[in-house]
Amino acid sequence: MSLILGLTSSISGLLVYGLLGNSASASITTQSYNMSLASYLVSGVAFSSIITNGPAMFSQHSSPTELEEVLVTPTSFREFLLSSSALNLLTTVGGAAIFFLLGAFLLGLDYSYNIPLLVLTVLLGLLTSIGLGFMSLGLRLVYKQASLISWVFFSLTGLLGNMIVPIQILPSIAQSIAYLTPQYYFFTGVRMAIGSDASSVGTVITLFGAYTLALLLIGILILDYGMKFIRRNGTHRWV
Amino acid sequence: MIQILVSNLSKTFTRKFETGASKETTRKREVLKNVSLEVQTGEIVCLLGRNGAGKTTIARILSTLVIPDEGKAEVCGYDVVTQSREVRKRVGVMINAGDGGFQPRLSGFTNLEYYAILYHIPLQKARFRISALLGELGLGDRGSDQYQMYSSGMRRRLALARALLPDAPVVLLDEPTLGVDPWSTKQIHQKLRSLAEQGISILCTTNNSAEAQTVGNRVLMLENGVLEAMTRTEVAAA
Repeated sequence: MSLILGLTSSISGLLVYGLLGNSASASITTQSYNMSLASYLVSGVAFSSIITNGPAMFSQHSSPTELEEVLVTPTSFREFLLSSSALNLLTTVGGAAIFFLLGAFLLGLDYSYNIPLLVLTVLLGLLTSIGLGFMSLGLRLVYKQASLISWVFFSLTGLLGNMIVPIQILPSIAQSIAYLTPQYYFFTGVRMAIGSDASSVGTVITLFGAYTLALLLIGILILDYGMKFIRRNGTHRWV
Repeated sequence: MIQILVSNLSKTFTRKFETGASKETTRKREVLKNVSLEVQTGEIVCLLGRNGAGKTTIARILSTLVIPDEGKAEVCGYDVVTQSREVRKRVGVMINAGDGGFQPRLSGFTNLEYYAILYHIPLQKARFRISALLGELGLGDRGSDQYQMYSSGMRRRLALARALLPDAPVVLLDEPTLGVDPWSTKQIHQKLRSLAEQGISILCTTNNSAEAQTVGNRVLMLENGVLEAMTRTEVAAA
């Protein structure tokens, strides 16, 4: 039942953005990404789950009542988290692809597909999510709450991440902040892969790759710190 | 042969506490003070003590969950801090009286299959072992029931089955019979003695002196973070 409700709300959200976008006569997105506003919005909404799931990715597999029982087994904690989330990651990517194609079909949107670039961008998006998930969990182990990082991340995605608001229409200071977010590189990479092969695609993907690597390493370090913290303090359980 | 070696182990926890409506501060509490103990192959050692005496902390240190401040702890010759992964391959653990880590909507059997994967036990072998353990612990006909339908005693027995699943040479049990009925307790004690006869070393914490006397080859009393050996007469009087 929850799956049907989730699918229905996702598709209806997609259609709302698509129909709104279709009503726009001219758009900054045509100039920047060679796609209509509707195409821009649908691609943003459809692919959003790949990167926005990051901070909460591992929370369900690290419940306070399960943590100790998992940690006494020979399976390493990172291995446990990744293998437990593998299906979730696959369904997220599959869901994004289905929503995107469904939106394009229902609204009659045209895209130009650079599949290798799209796959690379999605892969980097997933790795970014994993890095953010490690980071969020590490902080949660120490501070016993992760709402702040999720809130910051979701706020940034909506406004500055180039997901549904083209950064070209933002004030220059907001644009500068947007360039610091991983979401910007992810959504820009997606638009370049399905919109136009802009000349700056190499720069965007290189920066995104470097950003992803940095987030992964920082995520691993923060998670390791969180693990050491709870082993030192014995605070595995919390409510 | 010594399977568990604890030498001069000390641990202090820092905990927050409230002094008034809005005042919150921290306080240190020394849980273990120079604790030393050994468990030989095939021996059952019971750690007896009141609630909050530090019994669980010893079990948590030996199962690599908590790092000691001072001293040394080894399981099968491996250091619990620097060789924690090797230690985890060699211990079966039941902590917090086995109260946690099970998925309520899955059956007892499936929950154990899940842990068999985490213990890297091949599925076919695991299924055979799970069936045997459930039978030995009196859950043979309830393995397919959802975990949420289990009574507290059944949950303890399932947690014990989880601890015995990896067939490890060392088993750490934290209050394994808490909330278990006397008949099942007897069954669990028999199982523990049979494991010891097979050469498994068992460290069992309890606050029940009768249990310590019944099941333990040796009984150690933990009080205010200090560990002392007890004679049978002392245990009986405790």
